Amino acid sequence: MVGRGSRARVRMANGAALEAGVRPGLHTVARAKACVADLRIQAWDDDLYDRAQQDLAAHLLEHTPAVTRAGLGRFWFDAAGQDRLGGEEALAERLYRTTVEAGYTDARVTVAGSVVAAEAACRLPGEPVSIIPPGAMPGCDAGVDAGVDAEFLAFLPLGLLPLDPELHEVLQTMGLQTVGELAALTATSLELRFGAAGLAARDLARGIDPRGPLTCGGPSARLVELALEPPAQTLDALVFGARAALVTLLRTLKAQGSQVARLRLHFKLDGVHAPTSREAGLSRPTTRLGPLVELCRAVLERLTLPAPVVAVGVEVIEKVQSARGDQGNLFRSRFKDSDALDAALSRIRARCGTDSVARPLPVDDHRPEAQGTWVADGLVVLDNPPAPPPLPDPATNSALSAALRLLETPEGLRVRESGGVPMSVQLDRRWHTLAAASPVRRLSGGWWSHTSHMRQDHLVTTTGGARLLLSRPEPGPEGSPTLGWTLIGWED
Amino acid sequence: MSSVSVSLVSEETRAARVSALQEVLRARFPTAAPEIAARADGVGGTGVEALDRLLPLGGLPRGQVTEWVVARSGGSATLLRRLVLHWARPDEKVALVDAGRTLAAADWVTPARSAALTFVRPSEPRDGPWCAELLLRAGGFSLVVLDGVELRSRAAQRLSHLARGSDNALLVIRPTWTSGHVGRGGLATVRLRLAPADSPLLGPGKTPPDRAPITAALTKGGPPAQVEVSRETFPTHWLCAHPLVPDRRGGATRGRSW
Repeated sequence: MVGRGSRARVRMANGAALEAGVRPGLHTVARAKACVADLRIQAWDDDLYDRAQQDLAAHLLEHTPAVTRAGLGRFWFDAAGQDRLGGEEALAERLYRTTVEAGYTDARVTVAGSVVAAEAACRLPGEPVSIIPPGAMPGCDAGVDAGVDAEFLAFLPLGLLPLDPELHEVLQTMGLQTVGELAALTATSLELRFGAAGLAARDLARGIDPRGPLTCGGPSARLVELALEPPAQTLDALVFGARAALVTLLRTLKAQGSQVARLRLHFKLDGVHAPTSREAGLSRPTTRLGPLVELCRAVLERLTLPAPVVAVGVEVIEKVQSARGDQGNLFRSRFKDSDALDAALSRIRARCGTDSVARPLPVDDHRPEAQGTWVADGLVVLDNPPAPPPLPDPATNSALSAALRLLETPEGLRVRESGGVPMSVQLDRRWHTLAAASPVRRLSGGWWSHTSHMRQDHLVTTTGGARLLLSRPEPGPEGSPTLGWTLIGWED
Repeated sequence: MSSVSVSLVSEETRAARVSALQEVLRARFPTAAPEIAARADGVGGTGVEALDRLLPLGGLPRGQVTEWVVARSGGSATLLRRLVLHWARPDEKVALVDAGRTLAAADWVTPARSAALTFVRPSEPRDGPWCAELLLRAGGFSLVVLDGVELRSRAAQRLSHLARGSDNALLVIRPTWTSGHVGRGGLATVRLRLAPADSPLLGPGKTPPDRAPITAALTKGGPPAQVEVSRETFPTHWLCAHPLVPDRRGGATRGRSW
């Protein structure tokens, strides 16, 4: 109860009183007593509740390193990094058990990607412990918290969003009933009508909530969207929009001490066209604006959109908590700026594919062209790497052993043969006499997989010195057609 | 600024002064002279002694473009592997742009164990010069190799300009089997022509020899010269896979399958 005399009102009530019809904030003490005859009333004591919350927070801190008091009866927790302790579900169970043991039997615990989704879930009837995990909803990408939360919130009533009462009233007057209807409105129209409050409400409706448990980094906004007015039709306008969004995003990330490892660009198109998005990864996490803008430009250069863009968004889908500082040497002419190198490799990946920066791996296979493979190289280490195994010293090994060049797709070529032995080959539109041809080598295998093969290989040398690896399928039974020769590669 | 005066003096004095004048010109205009201006740390060896003797400064000049014009089986991959092993050190990063996508992964497993080596394999050969340009601009590599692509004049100009400005060495490996000509112009400061030595006619059914020498000829950047580099080819028992892969076949010996 707060206030005195006839003006005293109920500020908070327990579950039994609420079931009996007591409405905190609305009912006076006399009206509440009319609902429950034996109502026990206590004067409101801020210090008492403060101490109670502090005691509860101390218990909860045993389970998670970040506990934030978010108002009376509300706590925000950092649920990340609980994999070794059973994951988020186990954490939620532990928090609930601790809260109940502390005497709060009607407690609710929800794990979600954003505060707005977690609070909305706590206010819904249901189990005391609930999880809205990333990837739980069909069609959502794992790790994209905002998308999952947006789907969860979409069908909930608008009243579950923590909106300004006046804004809430106006939105209801406009006929909006669910959170999803608010999320579907365009950013431009909301900004024109309600300014920044409209955009913030739309972000909440889409599961983007800058609030969160106060970890060492503070709020954790991951998506910044910028409405483009007029709609952008050129690359430069889009890059400008993405740059502005990046500036805002990086400010938050820098405050957190985080770096961007992977981001996604969102484009909302004019008219009836569906929104589109593109992902781009960095070879090395960074918070430098320049490489990120270059990355965005590289992505946009390869993108063709069917309509002008009305809004561009930049979302961080992977970030790392690390602070790194490279010390340059002013007196070294070839100082290596790792961020510049990362930006270059990122642009190459964006234009030529993620596997364009590659490293070789050995493969256990007896076919010469399959004894190694190229795999995408995720990270280029410029700092002091762990000591690799010693490499052979070129100076101590004077003999040069031949390396191979292989064609990605073996080329068909014409071969003149005698008794199954190749005599000359037509290469680069010329016939070359073979100076030597190794005896046939028969290879077969892979029948257990899609790489099934049965073939004859020859290593041949032309009179000009070219050493070629030729192959042809093993001839079938008598009368079956003979398949042609192919050039696999050559010694170089 | 240096100044040199020349007067009509004896033959020896005149030769000495002309030599001094050449030195000044080389120092002042390093790219104008037919030969390259030598700098104390401006050259990196190739790891092949015969090739270093052939090259004008004893190796690949930094801040310059070196071009290898190679025939099929001309030994470019073999020499390149040795060159990369020689260059790649913790303080000397190497980028290899395999624009032709012809390098065999199995041959590069050992050099790739060094963190100093970065492979770039663009999906389209025409993106190769663009990748090399970005890597040169980034300035993180002492040696950038662009392998298996025919350079257009504008791209060649840009790369040459970047190499000179960045103090990094740029090696362009140009195959003749794709373009069909060896080329005479271009902006390379040093050009080597690599080709296999002619093979004697052994006859069908005869095993190719285990040694296939490479002929390297200097065609630009110094007086014409030619050397022969010995190269061992694959043993012909064809049994063993890569040495890093455990061999589970009973009859295997060392070496590789070709």
